[in-house]
Amino acid sequence: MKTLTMRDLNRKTATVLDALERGETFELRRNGRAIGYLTHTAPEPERKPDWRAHFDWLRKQKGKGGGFVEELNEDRRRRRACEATMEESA
Amino acid sequence: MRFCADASFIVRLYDPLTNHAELATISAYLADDQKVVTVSELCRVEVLNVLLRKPETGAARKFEEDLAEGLRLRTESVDWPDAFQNAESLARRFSRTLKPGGHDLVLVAAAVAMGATWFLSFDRNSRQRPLAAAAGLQVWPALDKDEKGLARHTSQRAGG
Repeated sequence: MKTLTMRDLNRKTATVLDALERGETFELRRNGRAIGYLTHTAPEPERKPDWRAHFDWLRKQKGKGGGFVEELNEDRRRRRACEATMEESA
Repeated sequence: MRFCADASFIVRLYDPLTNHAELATISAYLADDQKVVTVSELCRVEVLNVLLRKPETGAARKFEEDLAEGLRLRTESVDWPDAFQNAESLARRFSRTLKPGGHDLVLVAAAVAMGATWFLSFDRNSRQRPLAAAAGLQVWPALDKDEKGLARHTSQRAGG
């Protein structure tokens, strides 16, 4: 990948744009540090977490059973009972 | 801001029998700011361990798909030696007054190691929520009066 400074970009804008059209990619640098990229391809669209879709899915699972919260509570009750026994015997 | 959840929070997202009002609260909370929730490998295993008990529900598969997608849920790797050292430090500071369980210490230490600002947990029967607050994390749902008192008392004793 070619690197490009701000000065290069100012001086050779038309040349850079021609190269971009041909499919070349440039790393743009300012003060010696990469600050971005010029490329022919569009970036991936930014995707946000869609919680509504998740809860729609959960509502559709009603008939399939569950009870995971109670299962986890039971696991944790057992662990606490075990820890309490250890504390008593210490 | 980083939102780190324990298993009591995550299983509610996959349990169709979760209390309706509780689910509405969680849904509104997550949709606000389109939060991304981070879990540790420990939490991932704890959740899977419960969801896999009823594979026919498809909940375990959905949980794994969500983690692989990484949009709503993300697994964050934890530097475990660092987290255990942090757990020991929490024990030295808070065990006398708060009496947390060993699991609570590791969970909260992992959240701190992951750079969490918020700790999401519904486990009101253990000391992990007040412990998280004493360790400097913000807790959701908000601590109740007793938990707040406990966290404040613990922090004061540890600081004094």
